[in-house]
Amino acid sequence: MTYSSKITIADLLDAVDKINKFVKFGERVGRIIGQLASCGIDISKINPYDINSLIAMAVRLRSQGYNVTDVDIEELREEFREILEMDLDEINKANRTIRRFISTYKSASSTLSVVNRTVGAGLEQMQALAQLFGLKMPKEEVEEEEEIEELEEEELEELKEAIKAFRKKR
Amino acid sequence: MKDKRQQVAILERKRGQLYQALRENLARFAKMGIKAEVFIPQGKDNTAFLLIDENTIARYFQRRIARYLRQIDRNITIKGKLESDVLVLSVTASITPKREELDKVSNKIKEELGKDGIRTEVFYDVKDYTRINTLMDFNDIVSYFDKKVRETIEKSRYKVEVATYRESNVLAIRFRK
Repeated sequence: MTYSSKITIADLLDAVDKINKFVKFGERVGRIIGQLASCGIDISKINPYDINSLIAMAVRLRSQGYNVTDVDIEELREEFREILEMDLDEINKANRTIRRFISTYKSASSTLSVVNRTVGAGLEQMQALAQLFGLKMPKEEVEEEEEIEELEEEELEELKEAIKAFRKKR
Repeated sequence: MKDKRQQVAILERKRGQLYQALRENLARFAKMGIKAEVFIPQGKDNTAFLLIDENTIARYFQRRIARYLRQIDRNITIKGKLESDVLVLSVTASITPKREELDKVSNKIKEELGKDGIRTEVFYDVKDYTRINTLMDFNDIVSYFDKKVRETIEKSRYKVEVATYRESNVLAIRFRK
């Protein structure tokens, strides 16, 4: 994905997807760090390349009744491989793409309402204009039109008395 | 008569609030699924009309009533006629509904239209529940539309006078500044 000055809707969707995955990953990591903290382990003091440090963490977890295999690092790594391989700059770029879209969206919405107020554009014109910005306009709530069949004279005749009584009640 | 777009453009330029009132009500009717026509009498800068065919109004109430009756049977047919000042809608169901269901639905119809100030009667032959007849006071319907238009105008505080009346099978709503 390229983040050129031109942003397409595909870029936007891609950016939303990337940020979603990143946030999900962050939440999972946050939960693990929280669980470790509740066992009295400060993750920032663990050196993943020092076996003694990892053993100390495992011992601490076992003493709290936790099984270290509860945290399946391999599964996590597999699940979030895309994120782990991602340069954080890509996340920042995705954020910028979404911000630019939101800013364009706000300005497009405001232009539409100004156009509507000043020139009194019809719904069709507004929809055409909205499409230029890739926006959706609410549809007019026109209900399905049904043809009403006319009551035949003899059918109406049966109701004459009722109609008469209805009028009298007025 | 000039082209409708031209007429609306003239109104927009010349008549300010009158145009706004007309436009807002036109949009409100469109939302209700009612197509109203704009009519601007030539040489009268301070008057405009919204005209609605009475059949369009009958169809609008037909839809409102059908919405309830379809709860009993999806396959209903509706016939209707405006008999002077009474709108008659006759619904035929494809199945024989239960009396209790019919009572419940007819009460709902009367209640809903009653809230709008429209006197309504729903009745059926006790021997044949497949035919449900509804009678509505068309004078109340005229008042209902008049009230709806006035609501819009009061809400926007436009200084526009409104009059609603029937004329040759058309409901006419006159806006005057």
